[in-house]
Amino acid sequence: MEAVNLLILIAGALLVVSILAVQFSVRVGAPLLLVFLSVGMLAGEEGVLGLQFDNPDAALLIGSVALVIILFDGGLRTHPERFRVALRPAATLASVGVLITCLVTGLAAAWLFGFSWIEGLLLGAILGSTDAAAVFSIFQSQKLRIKERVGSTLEIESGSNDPMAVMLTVTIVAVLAQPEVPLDGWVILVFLQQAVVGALVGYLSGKVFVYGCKKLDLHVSFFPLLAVAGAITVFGLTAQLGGSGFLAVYLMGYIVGNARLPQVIHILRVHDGLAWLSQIVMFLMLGLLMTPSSIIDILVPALILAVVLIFVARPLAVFISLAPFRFPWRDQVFISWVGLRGAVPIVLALFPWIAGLENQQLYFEIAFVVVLVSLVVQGWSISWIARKLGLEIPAEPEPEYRMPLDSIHSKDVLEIVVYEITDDSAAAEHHWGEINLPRDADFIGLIRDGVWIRSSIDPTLQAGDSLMVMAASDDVSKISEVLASTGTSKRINRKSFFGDFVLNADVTLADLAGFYVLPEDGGEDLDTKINDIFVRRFHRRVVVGDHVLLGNLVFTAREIADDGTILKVGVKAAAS
Amino acid sequence: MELKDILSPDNTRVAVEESSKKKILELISQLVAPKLAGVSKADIFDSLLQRERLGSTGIGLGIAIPHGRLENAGQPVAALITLAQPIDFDAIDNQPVDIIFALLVPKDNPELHLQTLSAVAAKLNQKDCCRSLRHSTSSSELYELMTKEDTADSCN
Repeated sequence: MEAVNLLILIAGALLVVSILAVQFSVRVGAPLLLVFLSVGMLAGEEGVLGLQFDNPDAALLIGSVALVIILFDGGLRTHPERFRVALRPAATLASVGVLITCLVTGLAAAWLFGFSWIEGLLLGAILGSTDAAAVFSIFQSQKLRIKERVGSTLEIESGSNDPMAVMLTVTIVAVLAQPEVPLDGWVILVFLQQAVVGALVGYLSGKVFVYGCKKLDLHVSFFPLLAVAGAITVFGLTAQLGGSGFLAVYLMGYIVGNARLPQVIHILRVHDGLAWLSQIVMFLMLGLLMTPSSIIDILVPALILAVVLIFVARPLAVFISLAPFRFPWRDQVFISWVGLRGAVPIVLALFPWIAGLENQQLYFEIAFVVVLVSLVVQGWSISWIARKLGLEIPAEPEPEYRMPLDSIHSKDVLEIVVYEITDDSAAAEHHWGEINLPRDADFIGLIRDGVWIRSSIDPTLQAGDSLMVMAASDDVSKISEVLASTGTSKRINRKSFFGDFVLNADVTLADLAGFYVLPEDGGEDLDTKINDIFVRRFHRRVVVGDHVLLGNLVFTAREIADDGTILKVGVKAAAS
Repeated sequence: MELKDILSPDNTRVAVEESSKKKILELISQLVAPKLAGVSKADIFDSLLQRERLGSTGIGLGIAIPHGRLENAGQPVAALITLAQPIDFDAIDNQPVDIIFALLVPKDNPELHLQTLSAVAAKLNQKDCCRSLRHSTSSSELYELMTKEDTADSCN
């Protein structure tokens, strides 16, 4: 009894410390996952608490469940609009890219640690996946918005390369565990079986879950729980059938997240918390499992391996995978740099440990060092690099706070949204009735100095007010374009980024020549539209923030239609 | 180029009562034409209107900066108008406009044209500046506010 209570105390305290450390991490810009890992190590064997934990089976169990929840959450949040610009590049990165990373890193590992080449490849596979949560938590905490082409590619890639790396690792562990079986075609069969069964079960279970949600008459609180239970069941079931459970869970999440279900908002909200809890628990545990002194022997070669991975394997994989898509070089450099490794490699490194392969612990220790280096070096520099490469774009105008009224049955989901009024808000110094909104919204009062001022008083809106508005969820982004502050004072704002003036993208160079001076030897036909120039320069879909230089003028894509045509471009003088 | 070289007190108007974008562009043409020998009111109006067709010059927060380039203009000329009632200008932020700064420039010296436009935009992007422009009650006050050197008070 005493022991159990003590265990609960320690577990609770570790969670509390980790969550409080988030604040610290945001302040110093340290990657969150690094902070959780450090808390785990500090509490571990050689840290302040000296906790003993070296049970790889328990670690794998916890790690797998946590990964299931994280991948399911990742699937929930993957939207098909993201696929428009990034599906094929991301898919290539997640398949061909992982293979290249695995090969290059694997051969380097074999040479560095004196492994056989298959053992080397195993390590390569273990290190093959990137971590979306690691990347996007950094962007979020720094309120950094990057170009959609890059952001979507990274997001889809890191969601879908986990299953790939898992399948590779499982396959190679199987090969190594049965040295008497000759290496031939069955390896590929095992691999294909995992992919096909995983995809099939994932797809079907997603559909079944959506169907179930429509039919079941449960209290809303139960649906997120049902989703977790469903995901864990699907993972286990797929594994029993010889498929990749991680792939199945990711796909299931994708199908559920994009079904038009009233329960989805609820599921998303609960899963956001669950995914974070999983991240924290997993990293704490991996930190605890690690015995820092044991890595001293392998530290130097492991560091070299990390350098090879970051500076050779990843860039090579990215440049080869993306070659057919002709991404701008800045985008490619950034995608190369953001090959952040997270929890997946460390969990995968437990596979050979449990399978009882030779060098079992070594894989874990090496993977641990590489992930640590990646988190420190890449994680810490991401924002800086994004800015240096000019991939940062002004934040999307959005409310400070939004509260969906999802338990009220209405045709469109309604929301109460709150905007901070600043001097740069279009609404400042106006009455509500003077504001032109592109969609319907009702003014439901404002909070000034903590006091509710009711709409019936019809106050003049001032800087510092919190404006409360009710609108349909689908209209919020349009309404935000008017009500959210343009943020003239922020580091990067719409005016300085796009320029003061906006042009329709279907105007021709001949039209422009009447007002601006264009280069005479530009070689462009005067009937060319601005949109065509972009299309020609970028070869593929243009994203907000892409720009072209004509003479002394910079044209920046500002508004893009769903089909990829540019609607509006900003124009400004090139910085001289 | 300083604003006082291109703007003159008789090209400023306060609390103008006009109801449409077109009427305002006509008023601007009328104000500016006498300063430009060899350029007709119609030419100026056409140029301004053409420019609006490429995309509105309403830059948001109630401000518009219509502009045009003219073949025969000898020097750049500006006009500044505040409106009694804001009018629809198809501005970026969808909001009606009540401060209008118009700039007409000769065909040559395009660099200067762009610099002047962005200097004006930068000045009008300052909330305090717009506030005092909106509150001014006479053309001469408006002129003073806009052309005053950048100092610590009001329109800095």
